[in-house]
Amino acid sequence: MEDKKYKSGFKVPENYFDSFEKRIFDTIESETLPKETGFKVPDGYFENLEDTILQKLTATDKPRKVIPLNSRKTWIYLTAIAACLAVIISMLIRDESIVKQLDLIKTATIENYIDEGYLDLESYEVLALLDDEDLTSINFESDIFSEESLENYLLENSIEETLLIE
Amino acid sequence: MTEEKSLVRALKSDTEKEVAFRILVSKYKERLYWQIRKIVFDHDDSDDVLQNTFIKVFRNINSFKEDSKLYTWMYRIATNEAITFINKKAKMAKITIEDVKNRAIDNLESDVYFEGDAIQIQLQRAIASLPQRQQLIFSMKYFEEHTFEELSKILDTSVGGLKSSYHIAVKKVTAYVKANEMSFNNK
Repeated sequence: MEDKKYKSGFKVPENYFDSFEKRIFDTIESETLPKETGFKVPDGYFENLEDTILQKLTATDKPRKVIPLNSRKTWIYLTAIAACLAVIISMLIRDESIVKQLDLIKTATIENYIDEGYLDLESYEVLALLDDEDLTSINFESDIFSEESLENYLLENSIEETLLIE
Repeated sequence: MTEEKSLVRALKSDTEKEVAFRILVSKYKERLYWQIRKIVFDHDDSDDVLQNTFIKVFRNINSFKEDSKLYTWMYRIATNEAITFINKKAKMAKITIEDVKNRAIDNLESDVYFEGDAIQIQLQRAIASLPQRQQLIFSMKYFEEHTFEELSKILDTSVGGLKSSYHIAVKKVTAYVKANEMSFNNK
């Protein structure tokens, strides 16, 4: 490299020759490998993506305009009160059939609430209005899927799957 | 650069944010998607991660320090989101990350959004057998043809280090594919 024959004023990048073999090798070796991954996307996927994402952003940024706040709050309190009453009464009344009826009423109220589409709350928002005592004795049949309960559900399920595989 | 600067300015403004963001998504959705897909394999999972990536970019744009290129910053977010996704999957199923990837590769054959041959599957398996970091370096250099300089900024590693890693990765991947040549009749 110090040969005077090549002192023509030309220069090479640093480490050019040192890394040359590596680079040539990499190119030749990798020619035996396919260049495409083989992955593809559904038709129209990229075209629709912008709208999908923008929708999600504006949905999380702005408050939901679905229902006037007032009637939502009323429903929250109604459900909470119904649940509380049901629990309290069921504790006072030992008669099984009455307790069962009240359970049904309580469940029906909640089911209506959900069916009417009012329940776009996290379950903890509803639960926050109840006392600890009520919480332990309440047995909701129709769960409201908060992120937390979904995660737990998945965790439980995954464990079962692993057991099956093993 | 000025084009980028004005886009960033618009993204950080309250009035132009949405319009600018639409431009951003349009410009980078494909590149980020493929970056994610190489890590996550499945289309639907990639879709989830991609959307989360853009949402994160949108929410954190004000903390983008502009000391790197916008796309370098976004690529980093996308890569981290994808890796986090895989880690989460592994944790929930109580298996290793390598197992998560191998299962995903197993599913490729019947995956409607995969049109590769056996050799492409072999290549994915070969890549998945590399150490995590090398997988990234190999995929990004080989499939997306980033320069080492670009990779150096995205992955925050020296160019020299990247070149060595890539060189080792090519050797390993080629050896793996050749060793398993009997299992496919692509040639």
